[in-house]
Amino acid sequence: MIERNRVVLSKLIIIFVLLLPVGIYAQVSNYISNVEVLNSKEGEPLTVKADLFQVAAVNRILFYYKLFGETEFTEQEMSLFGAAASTTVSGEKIAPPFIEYFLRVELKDGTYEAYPIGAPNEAAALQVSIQPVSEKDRQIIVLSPTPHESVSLNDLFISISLLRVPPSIDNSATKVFVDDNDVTQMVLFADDLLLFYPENFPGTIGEGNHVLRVEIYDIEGNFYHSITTDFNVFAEKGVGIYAHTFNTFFDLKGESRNERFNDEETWYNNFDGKFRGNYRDWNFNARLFITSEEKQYLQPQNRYFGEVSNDWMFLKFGDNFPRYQELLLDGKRLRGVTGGVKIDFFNVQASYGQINRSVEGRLLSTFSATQAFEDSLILYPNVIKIDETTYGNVNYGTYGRNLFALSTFAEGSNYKFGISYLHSKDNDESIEYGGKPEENAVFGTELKLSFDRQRIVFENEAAFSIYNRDIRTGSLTEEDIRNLFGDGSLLGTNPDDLIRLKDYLEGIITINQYLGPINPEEFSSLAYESALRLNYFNNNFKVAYLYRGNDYTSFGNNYLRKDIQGFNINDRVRLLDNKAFFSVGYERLTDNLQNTKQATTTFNTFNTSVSIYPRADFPNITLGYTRYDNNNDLPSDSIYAVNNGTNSFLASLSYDLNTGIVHNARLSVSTSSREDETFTNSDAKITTGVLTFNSNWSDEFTSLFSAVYSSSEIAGFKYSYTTITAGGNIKLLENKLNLRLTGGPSFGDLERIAVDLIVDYNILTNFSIGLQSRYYKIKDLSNNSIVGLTARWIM
Amino acid sequence: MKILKIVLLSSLLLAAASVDIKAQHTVDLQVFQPLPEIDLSAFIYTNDISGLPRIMCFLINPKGDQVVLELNIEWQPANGGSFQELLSVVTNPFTARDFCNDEFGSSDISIAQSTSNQTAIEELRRSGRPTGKFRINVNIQGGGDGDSEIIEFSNPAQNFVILTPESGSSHDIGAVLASWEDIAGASSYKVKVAERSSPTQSLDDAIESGNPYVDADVGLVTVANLRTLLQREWVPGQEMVMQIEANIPGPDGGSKLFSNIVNFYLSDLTDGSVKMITLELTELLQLLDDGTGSDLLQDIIDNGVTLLGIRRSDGTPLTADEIMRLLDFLKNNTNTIIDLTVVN
Amino acid sequence: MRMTINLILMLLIMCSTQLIAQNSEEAANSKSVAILNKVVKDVEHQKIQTDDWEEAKRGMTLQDGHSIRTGGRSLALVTFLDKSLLRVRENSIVKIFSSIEGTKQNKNTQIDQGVVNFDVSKQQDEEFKFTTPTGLASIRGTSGYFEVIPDKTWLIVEEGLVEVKALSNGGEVQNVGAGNTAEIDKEGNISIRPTTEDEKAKLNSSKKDKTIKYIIETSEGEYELELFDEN
Repeated sequence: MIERNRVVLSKLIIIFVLLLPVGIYAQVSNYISNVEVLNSKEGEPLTVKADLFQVAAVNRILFYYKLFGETEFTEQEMSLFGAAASTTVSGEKIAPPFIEYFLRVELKDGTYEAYPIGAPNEAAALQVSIQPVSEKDRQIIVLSPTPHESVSLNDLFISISLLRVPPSIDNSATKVFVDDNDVTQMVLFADDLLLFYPENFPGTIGEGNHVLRVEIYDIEGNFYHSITTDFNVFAEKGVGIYAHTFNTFFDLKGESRNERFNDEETWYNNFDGKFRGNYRDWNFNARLFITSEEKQYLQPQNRYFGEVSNDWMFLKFGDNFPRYQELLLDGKRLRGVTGGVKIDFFNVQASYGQINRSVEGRLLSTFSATQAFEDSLILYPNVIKIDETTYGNVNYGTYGRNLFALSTFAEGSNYKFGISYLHSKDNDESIEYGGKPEENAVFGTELKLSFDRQRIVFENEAAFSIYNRDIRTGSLTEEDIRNLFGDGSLLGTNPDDLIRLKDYLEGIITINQYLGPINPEEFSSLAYESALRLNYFNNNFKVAYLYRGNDYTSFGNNYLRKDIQGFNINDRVRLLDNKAFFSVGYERLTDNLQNTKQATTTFNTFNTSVSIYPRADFPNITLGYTRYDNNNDLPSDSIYAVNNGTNSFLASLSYDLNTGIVHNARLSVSTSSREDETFTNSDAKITTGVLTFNSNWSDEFTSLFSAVYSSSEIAGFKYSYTTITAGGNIKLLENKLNLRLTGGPSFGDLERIAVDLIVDYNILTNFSIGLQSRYYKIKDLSNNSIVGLTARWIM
Repeated sequence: MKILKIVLLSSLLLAAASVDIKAQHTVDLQVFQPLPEIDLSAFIYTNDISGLPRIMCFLINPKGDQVVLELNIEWQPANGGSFQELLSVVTNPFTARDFCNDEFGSSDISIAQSTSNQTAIEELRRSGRPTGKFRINVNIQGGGDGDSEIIEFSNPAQNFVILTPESGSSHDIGAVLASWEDIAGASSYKVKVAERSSPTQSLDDAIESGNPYVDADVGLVTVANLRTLLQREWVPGQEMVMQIEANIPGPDGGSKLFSNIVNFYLSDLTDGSVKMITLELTELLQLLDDGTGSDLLQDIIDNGVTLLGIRRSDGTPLTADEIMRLLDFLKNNTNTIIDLTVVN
Repeated sequence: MRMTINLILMLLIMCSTQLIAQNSEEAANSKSVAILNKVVKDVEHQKIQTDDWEEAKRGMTLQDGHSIRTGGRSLALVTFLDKSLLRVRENSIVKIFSSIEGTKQNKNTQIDQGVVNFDVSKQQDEEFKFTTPTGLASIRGTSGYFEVIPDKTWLIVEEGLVEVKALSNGGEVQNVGAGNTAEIDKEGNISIRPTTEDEKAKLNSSKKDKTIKYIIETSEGEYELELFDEN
């Protein structure tokens, strides 16, 4: 009897629980009028909605829930929309038999109230029962995304299988909802399979959590069953095209640093902000760098930059670094605009802007013409004529220099052919005290061919320049040309030819007596390079020939080595299943191409290295040797003699020792010895040995020890020292705080004490601050300190 | 043509005869020294030309009288041989005063006649610039003390090369040996060392930094320990760039020759430095024997590309420690890697 | 207006069928039995009665007789309509046979070479078989791993029971229980032994189907590094 009563009671309780309106509650509260719990099914997302009054007083509402058997409530903030708040708990966490929950309303005045009032301590939390998965639930199968899956927007598609539904179901009547939006019309029905590709319907699904609901109906049109599942969509920032929304990424860094060198103190304050964004296939980039090192008397140190690009075009403005043929323009800062368009294989790119900012020179002193001649000042490099009777000594300034470049090329996977043009000119009115304003034009072409899946690559580049060393006087008249050029003139050239060309050339460059080359037939302003790369049998082989005439000039690549020709050949071989690498290279160059020097110097360089990575219980080894040999065969007492040779050796060993604690030991020894056989006798020897020993004691603590010995003798001056450094790195506060302290003395000719303390604190996952504090005391020479604070914020 | 020459010569003689030479004049020639290089245009002598580089001056005494100056230039090619006549110039009479070559052809010191050795001129022109030695002789016509000077042109290389440190090499903070090629004709060298704040910064951009660590004139030596030239302390882990500037004396400020720019690292003995992380990545890529990541490996080895950082797909960057752990994990689980491709 | 919108939507759906899914004509002729739930790197797809391999795309439906081929460091995730899962690992070739009768789906997967991890979600009266060059396996359990070379098949049973039958020499039949590995060679020998630690590691590695991407920032541009993540 008792047993029977118990069964009846149990059934009554179950019926009561099941009949509870899946949660419509009305609790007494000053702020919440009603709370509704939707869809309390095992494994399915559970949504809680709250209706509010006195919304203006509410700061935020937190939802606390606890699964059966858990001891602590989990907190989740609700979203506020007008007079309602809602949140969804992932289905992953929803399991029978029930969950307990309460709400906490936080008010703007800093106080709070729970719902139900007093929960969970003075009043009981609410409960909602969770229905277990039923047979009907198993009939609707969501194949993708899997329940609670986090999937990138690029990879998202929804597929639903109706394989298991009974024959009484009308598959074509199925309805699909995403976040309560009916997307059925966008769904492809393929027999038992329903497919929805959001990328074909931009804007339907964005980043964040989403709820998928599938409703099926029988052939009579009656609702049969529905299932709900949830998934999360994330955008891959900076990875491909990932969304139909505008995605942004900010990286902001600020630094304030004080450097003290004896009594001299300097503050450095920098701000560096970077922005990346994209919308569909449009990408946006921007950078703003502001530094206290910006000075009117220097070239710009601040940087600003913006870029818009997609598959077929780009536009950069501000401080950009356009890349054209290497002989023309490569890595030079240009403050201006660079843009390009790509249509199939055809490309056009152009740049215009300033590469040098004008910096005014200074007039240091003036003196009379008489004094200039009498005191022999007249031929000093920095003396200028101010007027007929006055001369002055100046510090020359820098002219503002503009540059224009244009390139057009055809490019495919196995070829590239292009032509380029560059023009650059000083603005001679930009400053008062300057040297010689100059002008330059360069014409270039390039050809690249590759065969056998890029295993054979043939690259060629050539450029021809014209260069005017002084454009102050402007272009010559026809009369001037007849006067200056022709037979018997040092400048050569048939004046009639030049006059004929003048109309065309003047559009490119100023024509006067300073225009070069005057000996184009000698290829003095021609530069070309040709290289062949072969990649076979684990060999990376390259042979190249280069020629750069002594007058070749491009303002877009000022530091190119000129007056040189020769070849280089090198090979890198992978051996023993990538466990060993062997490389060898040789270069032979000569100068004096146009016979302008007293002698021709030959520059020979040979280098070789071998690296071994045994991947076993044996050290990684690298050995290297380089030999430079430069000689022009002039007698050693000649002031033009070049005769020196340098030998450099490097040996390094690295070994990981795992004894439960991972230790890494590295030993490297390098030595360089230069013998100068000329009268200047600039001999130099330097030998350095470094031993380091790093130990990872735990995930949180690592230590290091190092010893450095260096000995040098440069032109008879000896300098040797030994440095011992010890320190450690420790992580605290759940790895959010990283402290690194190192320090140690140096002995010998460098008597120094160094202490470095570096602190990084990741306050939030996207916000960190760093402190560097360094102190160096060099005996009898200097006391230095560097203290800096940086902050970085990523959004 | 012959008639024209006769007329010219006659008028010259007449002009010379009309010059009232009251006293013995002396001319003192001063030339720009040293002058390793100059344009050929510096030796153009024609009327109505302006803006010539000032490379020689003539101090004539006594002043005030009418004089005629004869200028004769001989040339000895760079590969030796004897001096040969290059060109000679005779001025019209002018009032004796001090002046320089940039006033030749002006209204008061106009050129009456100039002759040249066509063969020598053509040979020089093919060089594109003055080479070898130029002997300059000046005289006052009709008697007086002349003067003579020689200018030798070494025509230094237009750019030169840093031998050490090698690009991408690492050095202890006290042991960076800087050495570079000799430049014949340089009057001094200046060493400039600046920090490269980020590996994406171009070397040109980095060397222009406002506050260099070394900016020192070292005279004519071509080797130096950078430690001894530091203006402020550098710190381990930094990437530095170095360039040498050779000063070539000449008019209008002379000229500067620049070496290539090299980058090098100051050894950071702890993990996490750019150099160490790049090394770790290199070792990882070398373990991938199916060609995955070979583009990046080649860039690192051949082009000195360095690793700046790694960020997750949500854009947040990995810390140096996380990067080292990730790379270490991947070295032991290379089959986890699917692909490594260039992002366009 | 509404009609027009519906028409446009219909057109879009048709386009998506063409572009993303597959040839609709073929779809009309044959039932879809599985979808390609994930495609990592180089995956190709071959329809029936053709020798051409075409690039496979995520979301593509597969029909009876279709084949999948993967390249190095690649993965294809095949999900049958009953939610059974095949993880076709790198350098593998598989052919899918399946028939649907009412609410039942019988499946036979032919593995020509490579590694396939399986996770079965079948009903009592459904068949799930694998055919390899050396053996035939009837899955009675839930999960495991095949590694196939022309001369040999390794089967690791993680959960449940698998009946294996050698294809030569009389067709020996044995049952392989959870925690065991079976080796079936071309001579028709079947040897069964406990799964080794190395094999367990392989099994676990074969389950990885989540991918994660990192961007490597270098001084000369950015590289995308894609990895199989821990599941």
